[in-house]
Amino acid sequence: MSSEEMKSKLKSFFMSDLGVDGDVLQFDTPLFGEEIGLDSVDSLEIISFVDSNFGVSMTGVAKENFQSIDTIAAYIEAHKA
Amino acid sequence: MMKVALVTGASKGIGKACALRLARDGYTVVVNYSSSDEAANATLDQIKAEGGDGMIYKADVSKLDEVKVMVREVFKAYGRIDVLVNNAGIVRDEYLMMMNPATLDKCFDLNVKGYFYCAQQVAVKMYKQKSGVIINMSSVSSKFALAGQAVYSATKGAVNSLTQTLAKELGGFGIRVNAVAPGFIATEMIEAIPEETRKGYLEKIPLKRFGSADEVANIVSALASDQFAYVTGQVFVLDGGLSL
Repeated sequence: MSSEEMKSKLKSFFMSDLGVDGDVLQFDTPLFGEEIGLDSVDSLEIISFVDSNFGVSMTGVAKENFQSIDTIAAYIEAHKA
Repeated sequence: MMKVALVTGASKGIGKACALRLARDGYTVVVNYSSSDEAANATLDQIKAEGGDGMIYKADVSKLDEVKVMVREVFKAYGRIDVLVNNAGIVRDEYLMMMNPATLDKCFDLNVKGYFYCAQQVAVKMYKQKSGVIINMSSVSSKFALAGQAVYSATKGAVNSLTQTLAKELGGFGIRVNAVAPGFIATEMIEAIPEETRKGYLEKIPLKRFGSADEVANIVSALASDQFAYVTGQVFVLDGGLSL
């Protein structure tokens, strides 16, 4: 899966499972800032999605890695088997 | 459907009693331990002799890497984790002025960080199931001050706070988090206390006896069951009235 496909898959998840507005959500949009407003509860859903779909565990990973779709994709890219 | 319980520090004392009780309740039990293969095997043998099932798993829960592998292996073996009993812990009594940084680190690593690590790894699995119960072993020391127990009390106070916060974070996913705070329980830990000191403790307990590990396991069993399906974020004190 290419990096762009991975990011698109993540974006679809944020839109369908977490109810994020696709028009607002860009790959570099801060996920936990005021604009999108995800919280600690959402982080569990993100971790579970990444674990199930990409086989990468993000539990206990520094918050910076969850900043945007770009940073999550970069983490997955760097840690996938 | 198979139900699976992971009990940390289950080779002896309260952890062992919880493992045995949950096995009697029908859970397949993972007996986590960190040092004594013999004691862990004895716990599992007893579970099997009583018609139960399970496995032993050696892991130091104060180390995140070991917790990650343990939870992954348990999930691989059984496909689910329904109950986590965070029990592994240590007591190191020292007065403030004699407190050693190494002791402080060791207590917080196991009694607090270990609980975080296990909850964190197991919560992801429970999230996928949309159900689960986490029971943290606290202590009456978190509510009733005893001179010389600053470190232990602080770690158990942290466990109570952790319990409440996790209950809020995980409740929406069908995961309940509660804590049990035992007082003086007749385990090896109590037996090691000098006779005179033990007598002094007994005088302070309205019920005039130490509790048993089985009595702690009774509460853990109840909290794990659907009878407590509407209870989360609570700390249940079991101390014969000591903290009153």
